[in-house]
Parts: sequence; C-alpha cells; structure tokens
Amino acid sequence: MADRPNREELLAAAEETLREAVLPSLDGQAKYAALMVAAALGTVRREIDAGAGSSRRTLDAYAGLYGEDNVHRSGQTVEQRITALSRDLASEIRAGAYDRSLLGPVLPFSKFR
Amino acid sequence: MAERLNADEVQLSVPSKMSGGAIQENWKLDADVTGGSYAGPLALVLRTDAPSGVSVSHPRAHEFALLKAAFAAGATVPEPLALDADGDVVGKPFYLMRRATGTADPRFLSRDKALDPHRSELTEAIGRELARIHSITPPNEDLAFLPLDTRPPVTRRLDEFRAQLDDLPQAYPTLEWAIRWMDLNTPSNSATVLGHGDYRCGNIMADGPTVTAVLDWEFASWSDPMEDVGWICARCWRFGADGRRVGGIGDLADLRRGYESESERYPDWDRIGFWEVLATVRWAIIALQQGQRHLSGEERSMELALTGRKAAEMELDLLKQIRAIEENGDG
Repeated sequence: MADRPNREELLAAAEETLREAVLPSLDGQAKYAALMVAAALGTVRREIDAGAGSSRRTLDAYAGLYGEDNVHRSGQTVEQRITALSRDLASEIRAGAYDRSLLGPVLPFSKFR
Repeated sequence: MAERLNADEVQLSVPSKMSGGAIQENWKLDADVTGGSYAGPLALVLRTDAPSGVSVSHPRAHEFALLKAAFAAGATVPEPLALDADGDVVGKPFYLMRRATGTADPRFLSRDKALDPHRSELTEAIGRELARIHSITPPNEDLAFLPLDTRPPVTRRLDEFRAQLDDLPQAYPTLEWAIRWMDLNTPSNSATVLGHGDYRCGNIMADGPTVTAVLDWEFASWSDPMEDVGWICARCWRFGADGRRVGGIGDLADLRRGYESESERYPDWDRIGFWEVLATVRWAIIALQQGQRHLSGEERSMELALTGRKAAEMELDLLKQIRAIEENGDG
C-alpha cells in the first residue's frame, strides 16, 4: 500500500487524538478505558515500527541452535515456525537438555569471557 | 446477626456495592448494635460471590476461617463477625466483617510523597504483620481445608507452574528456563507456615505509618515464609517505584526488622533473589492466563488483553534477575 497517510501515520494520528482531544475530558472508568486503548495502540505502533526484524532475529537464533534446514521444516509461516520451535525448546529445557549451559547466552559478559 | 454478636438488637443500613472484585462482591453497610460487647455503631463489609464467580480461590467459608485464624494470631485483619455458609439468608454464602479504614491504593502507597516520612515505619509494620500471619503453622484443625502437601513448597509450586504452562496454547521457553533454573537452585525449606499468597500493595490497607488491614485471603496456602516476602518484593509489585524493594513502599531492611521483632522464626533472607524469580514466574503465568481468558472469549476485556502482553516484561525481568543473581549472588 502506497497510500498516504500510511498505516503507521494513521495509527499515530489516532493515538495523538485520543491522548490530546479525548482523554483530558474524561475521568473515572471512561478515562481508565481510554488509557488502556492508548496503551494498546502504542504497542501496535511500536511493533509496526520494529518491522519484521524481531521475528527474523528469533528465527536466526533458532537457526543457530537447530540449523537453517530445521527452521524451514518447522512451519510455513514465520509465526508457525516460532510457535513450533519455541515448543521444542521449552520441552528440551524442561527435560534438562541444557542444564550444563543453562546460563550461557544470559551471561555473555563476565562469566564466559 | 444479633445472636452472633450476643446483642439484643442489630439495625442494619441498606448495603451499597463497593468497587472492584470480579470474583467476589463487597457490600458496604452500617449496623447499630444494642447490647453485648459490640454495642454501638459498627462499620461492616459483606463479602459474597459475584454472579459470574468462577474461581480456583477459596470459598467464602474458608476465607472466613482464614480471617478468624489470622485475627486470633494477632494479625491486623478485618474482624470476621458472622458467616452464612449455606446461603440461607441472601441466596448465596456470605460473611460479615468489620470495615477497615485507610487506603489500599497502590499508586498512593508506592508514589505519594505524603507517605515519604512514614515509609520506613510502615514497611516495618508490614513485616510485623507478615510474621504474625506466619506464626500460624500446620497442622491446624480450623484450616484443615488447606491441602498439606508432602512435597516441599518450592517443588509443589514449580510443578504447579509446569502444569499451568501446559494448559496454555503456546510454549514459553524463557519461563521454562527460569523454572529449570529454580529446579537447580532450590533453597532448603526452612519452615512451613501459613502463606497469605497475595501479600502486596493493593491487599494491604494503610493509614500513614500504620497497617489497618490485610485483605484478600483467597490464595492462602501452607508455604515457605519467604514466598510472601518474594511476592511483595518482586519488581512487578513495585508499581514503578523500583528503588523501593518492598512493594514500592520501602526497604527490605525495614521489612526484615519488623518481621524479626515479632517472630522467633528466621526465614532465609539471603535467598530473596530466588523468591523474587519465583514470584515473577508466577505473575507471568497469571498474566498469560488472563490474556487467554480474553482470547478464548470467556471474558472479552481490554484490561485482560493488555495484561496478557505484560508476560513479555516479566520474561525480560527474569533474564535480568537470574543474571544478577549469578553475577552478584542472591540477596
């Protein structure tokens, strides 16, 4: 879609309007509800800003662990792959498969240098 | 009512519904008591099930028994006055307790500058209350409904977490990782006591430096004394006031001083970091369950939907917390 304002710009305008034109005139339950809506819009906007990068990084990390081929075989879409690989990793962690290097990726600075 | 209070007569006002409580309803009412030791005006709360109350929490009769036990142990709880366990009076079980004064508003308790001069004293009082609650130990006939597990409290909790994760449609490697880390770093069980189960800002009412009531006993269980300490100290209950470890209210040293002034029991304070990790995993799972309630259509709600996404914050917290413990030690 090349139409402007694009989805990011429309979302940003919606969030601004809610915060500047709607919220100040509300109080009590209605204000709380509007604040929640603003928070939800903000989360969506940040996810759009981040683009496909975070999913890509997740799959790259899984490729490092399981190999590129296995990542490809794990599902059709990015979402399906992350879901399936997370399930595998979760059950392996639970079974104790990583006990010896449990802190490896979490302690990159002091302990493992 | 008159019979329960040993009074000649009790006049009740028309109850009005208090805010909050998806699972329970609280109604505010006032009594005028003639005769007996409660003679005079009596500010009351009537607590009963909400119409849609589907819950794993304790039924009202159990809550009443917990309040009685805590009251008898000297904890500052609303005095429980009368129970109708069968629903004969209003069509569903309810109980009456004294209405506490003060505020439970987490935003006030964590952020308001007006509380600053009282923070140390209030945190100490919160520690004393916890020690009084923890003075109740199993076996206890009046609390026989609380399951007494042969597993150590930590093992039972971790098993519960795994079962709860298995009930969710997706898997969460970070939470599994934190649970596995806890498996491998479990503290020895120092004692088994009555744990409140939800001891934090929001359930503790205060007035300046004084605790006026400890509320919401629905998640009480036999547990390690440090579980309640870890829960109130976990970052997710500091309401943004991260520098004050105890629920955004005050410092751990104050809580500990209060606790130890009231108890012969010395919990393993040095393992506080472990118990904060356990609390963070517990809250992450609750957040995911709430998100799921929205997604499944069981209860459509913007708040539940947003809470579901909070779990990601807890995952990041867990990575940081466990790393800090491994690098700098627990505590």
